Amino acid sequence: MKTFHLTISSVAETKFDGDAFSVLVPGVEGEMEILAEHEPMISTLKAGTITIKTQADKDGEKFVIKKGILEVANNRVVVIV
Amino acid sequence: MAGLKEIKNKIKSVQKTRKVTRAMEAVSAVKMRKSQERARGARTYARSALRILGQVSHIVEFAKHPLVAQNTTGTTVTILVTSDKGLAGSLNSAVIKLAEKFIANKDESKGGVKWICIGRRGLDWAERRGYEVIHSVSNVSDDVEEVEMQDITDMIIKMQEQSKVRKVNVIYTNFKSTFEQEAVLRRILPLSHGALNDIVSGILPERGKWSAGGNEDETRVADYKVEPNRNSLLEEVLPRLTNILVFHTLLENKASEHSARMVAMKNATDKAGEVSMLLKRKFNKARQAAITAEIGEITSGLEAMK
Repeated sequence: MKTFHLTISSVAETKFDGDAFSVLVPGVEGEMEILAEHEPMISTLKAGTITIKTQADKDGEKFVIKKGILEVANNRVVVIV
Repeated sequence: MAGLKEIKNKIKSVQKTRKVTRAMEAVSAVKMRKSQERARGARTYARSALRILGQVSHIVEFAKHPLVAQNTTGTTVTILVTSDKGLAGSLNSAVIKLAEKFIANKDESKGGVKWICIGRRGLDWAERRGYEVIHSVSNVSDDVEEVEMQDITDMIIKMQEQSKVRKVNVIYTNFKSTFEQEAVLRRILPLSHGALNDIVSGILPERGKWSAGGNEDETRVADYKVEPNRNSLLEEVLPRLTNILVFHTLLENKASEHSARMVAMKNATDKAGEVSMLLKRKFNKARQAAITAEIGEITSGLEAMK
């Protein structure tokens, strides 16, 4: 399965930095799941849960966020919360 | 000949001072480690924010946004970031010196300068000089959260949107290393990629564990899909980035403050040790002189009795 590089960072710490094959985020207009090779996108996120699925963790690692900004480009996803 | 007792008292007082500065050094060392870690740890966050701003700035609507617009009227607002307490070497005086230079520069301070003071030292200075302080915060804890800066950010954003300010600058101490801090002046508003880049690159040391390790490729992807739409994205992202900027200067300042204080206290401790050693030498000399004088008296007394 194809993966992409995902970084989730907050002021205090980098919450996630590594390869994932899917990330589920609470977009302002509903949840969206981002897979590898997603088209370039910038979006704001609302309060909710981010679920990350990686090779090692198929069930998904979860983070609760209050708000955030998401950027997808060149098979790399950056989320700041 | 100085009295032995006086010298003894002086030695005692110097040693007490040394104990105090030593304790302060130890406290600062712990705080320094924490605040440095914090300032550096926020790096990924700041870089990500910068990247996103970089991409957003290619959106057409970016240039029209009020936070990016160059106002030609109004005053200049300057955020002065200092520490609350002194005994931190030249940390605050360097910032204040820069502020004075800034006021003296008529081009920069056109339209009058208003101040927002973070930290008591800067506030005291501004009030003593009778400058206009529109907002001040003091006793900011070391574990300051991003939201605590929201008041200031909201304020400058409002002023910028109402064209009341030409520029919002910030003067703070940039943390380079434990032994090196530098007072700097940076522009926050109007927002630009360059200004943000300056602040963020300032946070990275030139080498070592935390250094940038080469710039990431800045591939421009022109056609971003934007959700929900471009205007509301800018509405959300730009104020947020402004807040990150303000917050970052504070983190930098905290790291600098504790480092400067630790170094200052270390110097004071060393100096107190030196002074106490010199005093001890003086004490011993005085004691020896007293003994010699006494012996002299006794022997001359003996001679006289013969």
